[in-house]
Amino acid sequence: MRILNMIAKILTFPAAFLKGFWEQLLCKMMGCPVESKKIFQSGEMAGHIEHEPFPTAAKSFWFCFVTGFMMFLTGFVFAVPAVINLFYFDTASTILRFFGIFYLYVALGAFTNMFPSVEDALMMWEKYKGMKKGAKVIFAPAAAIMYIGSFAETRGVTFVTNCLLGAAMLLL
Amino acid sequence: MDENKEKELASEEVVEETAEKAEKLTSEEKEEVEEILEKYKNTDEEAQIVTDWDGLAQVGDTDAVFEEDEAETDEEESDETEEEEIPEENLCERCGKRERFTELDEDYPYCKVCRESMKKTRMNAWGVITFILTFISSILCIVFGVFAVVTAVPVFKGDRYMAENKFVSAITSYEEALSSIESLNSQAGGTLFDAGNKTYQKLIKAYAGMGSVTYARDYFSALENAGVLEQLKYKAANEYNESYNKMMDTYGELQTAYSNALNEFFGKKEKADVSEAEKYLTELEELKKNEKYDPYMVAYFQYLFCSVTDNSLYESIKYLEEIKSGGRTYEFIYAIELCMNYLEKGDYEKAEKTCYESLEASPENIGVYQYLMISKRRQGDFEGALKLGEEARKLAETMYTGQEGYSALHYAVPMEEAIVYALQGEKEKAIEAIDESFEQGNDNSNLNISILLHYLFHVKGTEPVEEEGEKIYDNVDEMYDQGVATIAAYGSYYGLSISDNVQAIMDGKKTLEDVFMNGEVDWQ
Repeated sequence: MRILNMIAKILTFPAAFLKGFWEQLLCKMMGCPVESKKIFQSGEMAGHIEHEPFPTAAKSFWFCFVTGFMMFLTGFVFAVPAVINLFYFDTASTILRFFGIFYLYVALGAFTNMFPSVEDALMMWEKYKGMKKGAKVIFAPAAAIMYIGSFAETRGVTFVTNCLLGAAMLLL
Repeated sequence: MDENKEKELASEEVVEETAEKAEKLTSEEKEEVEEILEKYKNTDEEAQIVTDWDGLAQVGDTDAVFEEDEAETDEEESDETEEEEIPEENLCERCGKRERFTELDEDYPYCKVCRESMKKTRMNAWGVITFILTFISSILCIVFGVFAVVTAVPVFKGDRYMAENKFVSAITSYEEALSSIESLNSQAGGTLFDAGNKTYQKLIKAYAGMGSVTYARDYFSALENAGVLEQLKYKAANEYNESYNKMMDTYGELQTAYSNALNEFFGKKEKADVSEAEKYLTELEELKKNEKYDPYMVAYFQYLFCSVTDNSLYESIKYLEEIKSGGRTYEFIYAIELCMNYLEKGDYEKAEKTCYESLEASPENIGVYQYLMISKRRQGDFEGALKLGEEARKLAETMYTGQEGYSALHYAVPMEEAIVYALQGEKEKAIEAIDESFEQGNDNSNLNISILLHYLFHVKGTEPVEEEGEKIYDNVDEMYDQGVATIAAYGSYYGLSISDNVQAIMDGKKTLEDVFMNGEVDWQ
């Protein structure tokens, strides 16, 4: 699974770099020391930067959420013209088709690298469990998605799913 | 002389004097003096160093240099002390010199200095480059996205209409998308944008749903040019294309082979008996066995021979029913003809059934209401006819036209209403209805009715009638003002040929009832 994760990170390297960028930027903004800014590394931390655990539940949650949301937003922005031109219209224009495929690649890469590292997710989950009841209810869906998603991403599930989705869009 | 040199000279004099005095002292005193001198020498060396630093410091800030110097010395000393005193397990994992910062976490591996520097770690260069490239690409992407969404909205709207079998509205929506693409391309000065092959397939399906697949020929060409018709996802379009090609090939071949014979029958003053066309009908029947020909299109030619010969109503209906069995793809050649033939035959039930079948398959087929209204009118059910007119109006309101304030009402509907009102003697309503029909569009039929009703209800009673070889007519005030005063002039203005029946009514040779109730269904 780690190999699959590594392959996913290599194949979706623009998105992996972007994810690392957002993580490091968030660390800087929240004053969190970055232990290693190396993005390409083996193991579970592939595509992520190593940083100190966040001291509060809020910081831990927002770090995971904002980086994931920025990746989702990037994926969405790129996916809209790609899906419309390739899937909905099946454009006959060579230029639009080329751009469509490129945008689709970036979009699917962004969706593949959307979730936090397992380390961050575990930390976030631990802190989430300590939240007040009201906050727990509000943040439950996002926290659960990020928690499950991080494991799925590390095991290459998001990569495989997105590959299949892309293939279906282009071939069917 | 500067202060330093004075101090230097003074210190040298003091040393010399002390040495002279020392010679006169006891041994204990000598030792004491030597000690003092030793100390003094050290002080002197230090003073020398200070002097050197002081000399340098004169250029900058003296205090700062001393402080820095002291700090460095302290640090070195403290490092030496740490190296000596801090156990290895407590050393910072990063710098390996300072003690770990354990105030927040006992297991924290780094020192406070390293921790602070880690907070200020420079951004990963690849990350920054990727971010910049993504940002630039996303701007281009947003531009493409906006254009794509603008085009996709009418296509999406069309899809919703298709789901409800509202083929007319769907076609209007899809063609709106094609127009917006054309407009974008004309602005961009190229052919960068296109509405996509799938939109063409949707248009083909919509036209097929309406029973008029021949109108989709341009979209077949577009898909053929794109070379996608063989793909699985264009299976539907490919099937329609094959059917269309076979239909058109058959039509072309039979048109070449039988147009002269048909024209011969058509040109006869008196309609020939159907038996005279027997030869052609048999020939055509044989062609149906040949797979090369579309049998329903062959049946259409058989119908054409029947339509130009006399006593062939039953034969006509037979062939039209045969075409109908070919499916809705052929509706454009059988539906109206079949309806008219049943009406002519007086079989109103079957005529209406044909209309309702067409409406069921394509609920926006508003033109069908004309034949339903004719059926009611000829049965003397004027209220029923007007009620159908209302239904058609309601339907038109729900149809999408793509233009604000433009009604989808077929001009034949208010024309039929005008005829019914005329038969009821409601002159104003009849004029109002035919004028509305005229606004919606015109062809030979509603222009004839317009002339007729304006003549009967407007000019004849209220305006002076001038004899000018033909009946004088000033249907519309505007036309009258322009001096277009005769029926012939008015007609020629619109490329119109006045129907014999209309002329007969205006001449007083026939009544409205003679033509519209008891005459031929096709009164033109």
